[in-house]
Amino acid sequence: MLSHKEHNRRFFMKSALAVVALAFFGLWDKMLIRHKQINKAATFVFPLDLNKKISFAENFIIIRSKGNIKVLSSRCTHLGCRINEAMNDQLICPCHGSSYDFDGNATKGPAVSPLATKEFIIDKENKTISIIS
Amino acid sequence: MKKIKTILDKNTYGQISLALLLICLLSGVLLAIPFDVGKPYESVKTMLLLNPYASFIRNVHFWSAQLFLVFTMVHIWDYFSLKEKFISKAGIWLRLSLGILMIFMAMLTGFLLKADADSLQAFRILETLTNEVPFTGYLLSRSFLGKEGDLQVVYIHHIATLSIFIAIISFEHSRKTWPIMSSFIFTMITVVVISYFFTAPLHDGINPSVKGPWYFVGFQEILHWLSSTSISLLLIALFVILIYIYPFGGEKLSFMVKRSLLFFSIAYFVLTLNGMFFRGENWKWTWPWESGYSYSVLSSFRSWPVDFNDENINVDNINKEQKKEGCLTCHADMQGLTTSHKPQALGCFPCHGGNPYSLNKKVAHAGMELIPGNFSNSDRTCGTTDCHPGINSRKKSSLMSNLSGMISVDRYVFNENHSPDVLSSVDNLGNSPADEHLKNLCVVCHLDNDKTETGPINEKSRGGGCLACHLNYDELSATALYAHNFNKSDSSYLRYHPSISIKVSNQHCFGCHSRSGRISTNYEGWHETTLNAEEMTAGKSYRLVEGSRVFKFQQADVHHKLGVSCIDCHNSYELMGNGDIHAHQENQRTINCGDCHFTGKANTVEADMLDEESAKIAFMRFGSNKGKTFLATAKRNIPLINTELKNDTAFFYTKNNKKKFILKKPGETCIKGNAHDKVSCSACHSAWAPSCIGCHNKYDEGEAGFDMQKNLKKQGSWVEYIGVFNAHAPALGMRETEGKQEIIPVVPGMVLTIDIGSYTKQSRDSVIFQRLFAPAAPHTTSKKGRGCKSCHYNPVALGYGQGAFHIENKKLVFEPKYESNINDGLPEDAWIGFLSEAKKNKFATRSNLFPLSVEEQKKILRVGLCLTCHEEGSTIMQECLTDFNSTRKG
Repeated sequence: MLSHKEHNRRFFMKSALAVVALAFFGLWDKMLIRHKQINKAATFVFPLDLNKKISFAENFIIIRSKGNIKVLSSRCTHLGCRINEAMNDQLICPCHGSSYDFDGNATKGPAVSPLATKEFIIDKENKTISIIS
Repeated sequence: MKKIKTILDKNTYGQISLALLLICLLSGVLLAIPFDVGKPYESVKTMLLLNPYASFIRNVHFWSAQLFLVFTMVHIWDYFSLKEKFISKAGIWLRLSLGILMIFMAMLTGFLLKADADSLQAFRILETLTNEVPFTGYLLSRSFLGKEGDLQVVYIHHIATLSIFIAIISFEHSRKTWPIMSSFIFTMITVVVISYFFTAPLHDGINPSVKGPWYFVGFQEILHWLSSTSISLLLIALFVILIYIYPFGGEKLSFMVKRSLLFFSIAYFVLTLNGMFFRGENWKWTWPWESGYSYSVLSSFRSWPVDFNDENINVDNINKEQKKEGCLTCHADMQGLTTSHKPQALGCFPCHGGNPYSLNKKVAHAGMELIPGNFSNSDRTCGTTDCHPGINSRKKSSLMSNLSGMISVDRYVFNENHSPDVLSSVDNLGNSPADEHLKNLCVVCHLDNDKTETGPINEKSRGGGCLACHLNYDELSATALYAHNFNKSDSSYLRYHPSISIKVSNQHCFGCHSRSGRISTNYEGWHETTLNAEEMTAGKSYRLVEGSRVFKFQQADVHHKLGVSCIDCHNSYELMGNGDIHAHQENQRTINCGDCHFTGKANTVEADMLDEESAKIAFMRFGSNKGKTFLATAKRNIPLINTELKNDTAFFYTKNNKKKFILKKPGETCIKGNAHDKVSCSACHSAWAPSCIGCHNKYDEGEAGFDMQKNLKKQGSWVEYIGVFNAHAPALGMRETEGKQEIIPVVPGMVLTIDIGSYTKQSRDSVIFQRLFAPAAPHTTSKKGRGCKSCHYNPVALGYGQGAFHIENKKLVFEPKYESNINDGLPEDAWIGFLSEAKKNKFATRSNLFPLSVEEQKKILRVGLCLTCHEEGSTIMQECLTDFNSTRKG
């Protein structure tokens, strides 16, 4: 049986620890938010090959169809695997076999959501494409 | 025995796990020296290739970790199977329960640190799953995984956070820092032996199959079936909670927990087996008997012993190539390959396979492809994701691969198909009379037929996948190979590689296309005869092919005389398929005479609008495409990359030797008036075409045969008893395509008899007689078209066969050269009777090909009769071209 005095001391210690933990948690969160802000990559620049129907450029898929260009995220909407293969006009995820059409719509599960579409700017003179992440 | 029992009793699963943990921690400390977290994949590759000692320590680290996980699980199982529960303090038990999760995390982070293709995808999966943890997802993901492409945070947690946590709870649990000596020694010996024989896995970077570690594969299978992946987090949490609550629950709860965990374990085991042994590329279910099973499914099991023999490693002069792959240590000075396939850039492994991480010759060469590019291996050689996946995926759509037309027509001739246009494939041949006929006599010529011996493509070559067109031996490589074949100890061939290039010569096409329609030989002017080699007269007018086939010179195609090769007209989409299955060659072919010899406005495509394949080929052949305007085919708009339209003048370049020509417009006769609107260019400009009649087919059980599909000798074969081979201007037929009529050259495709009963042994199966004509692409183009009489007053052109016209009693009479066939009463080489319609419905090897109608025959012959008096170039005949009826009345 704890004495009243010991009980108070233990309660204080636990409360103090909880406050410190909470503060630490807050700091941790703030640190990460700032870290994310500092390291936020605004644009990625890649050479643009206008003859290429489909290019896999790091985290993006650049698709040219009938003169139009579209940029999709290469991150599979199922579990984030990087899509790096196109077969029979379908983008195929190597991890669990999801597939998408060239508009980014899921055509075979397990993925159900479409691939994210990315904004981009084309520099025709230098033949580059800047993709805004 | 008693002593052994005592030792075994002492060596509990817990003791073994503790020993494994210690070995793992100690080997991890040593492994930190050669491992470079800045270049993780490169550093692991370097260990495998150049530092067998580090590789061995990596194996010790890997295998001790795997075994630690296994024995920890067995230890937990052991605890759950005890009849009496040992209950520790709630805090310690909580930490132990979480410890299981930590062990899995430590294993997974270790898996990520090798940074190969498997690891990079696993990182993304873990990142996504962690992000899905409610409220703290991003915090946890960034804090425990860091950002993609940088493994620093993962490394810190692997070597510090997780390892320390596991060490502490292990000590807290066992109250020991060191297992009993016998456990440690036995465990150490076991790990060392396994580590020597089995190198820890590393993805080769080419195999398209991506799999997690073995303990994660069951989970990967679960994820495959879940669209909402956050459910999987609940499963993990449930697993930990079940373990945690087990000691504190009553008897009923404990029973439920044990049963749940048993069910979970069995289910997970089954799913793991599924993932390990039945999942291949793109997580596709693959049966062991399917082609490519071992490459696609079992690749993660590939392992080999550590080779401490380091005589191949020159530590004073280690170059980049050696770090890239082991093959280049011995084969760095290989010559002969073109820039795009240089081993110094690509290595040897992407084409030839084998093991790129070993310098041991036997290990490195295990599983190698001596002849890559065969369609049986192109999925893992030429067609891999980083090389030519687009072409590989459509290869089967090419008629040169599936032989659709050949199979469909042959079955039609044997009365097994209702139409000659059924889409078919050489992969689906059965045992019907037609299919056996095809297997015995025809289907050796298809690209799926593997090339089995090294050496140049020549007139005897059949099939060969990608190499059928792209393999070129130069003098050095051919001489070196010849020297090696003559004397096996001569190894100079290992320094001179044949080139793989887009330099496709007529010789590449010749092997297959000198048969059947004989396009290759026709093009060069050679007509096959029925003479034996001994009967051949010396001189330039005869040629011997394959040592026995005698050809007589007729007239070469005008394009051949100018130096134009097959590939100058036929583009990559015709040859390698465009992804669609076509019934016949004319459906797959896109090029037409009018694409180059056009009237009016040319069909063009700008350089910027070229498709990737055409742009790449154009660049490789002719340099920069910038600002160029290319001609394009009217059919499917395929760019003709060896043409250019400049200031209204169209130029044509030969692809291999860059000869330049100005493309000419069609002649005046071709476009004058509307009399010949329906006549195709080849109907007039084909100087001659081979024409075979009177062939008989019979199955002979005593004949030494061959199954060309399986490349196996067999007893019994269909035998073809040939008739007469003629060479003359082709007959004409009417082709109807989408409502459009076109007069084209035709030849006797199948005027033959087939003794079906000789194969089926059924008395009801009688002899089949067929009189079918086929559309022809003779490839014997002459600059000057055939004369007017050659069509208008020529019984062959009209489909009556060879013979002569006479006028008797003011009527035109036809006298055939050949006797009438007893089967249908028509001359042997005829398609139709004189001024008659076809007698039956089955008359051509295409459903859209017809003989000329009586009305059309009459129209043609009416002009022909005029030509018996009026010269071709006479004014009146020229006027007829504009308006025949008015000229006739006038």
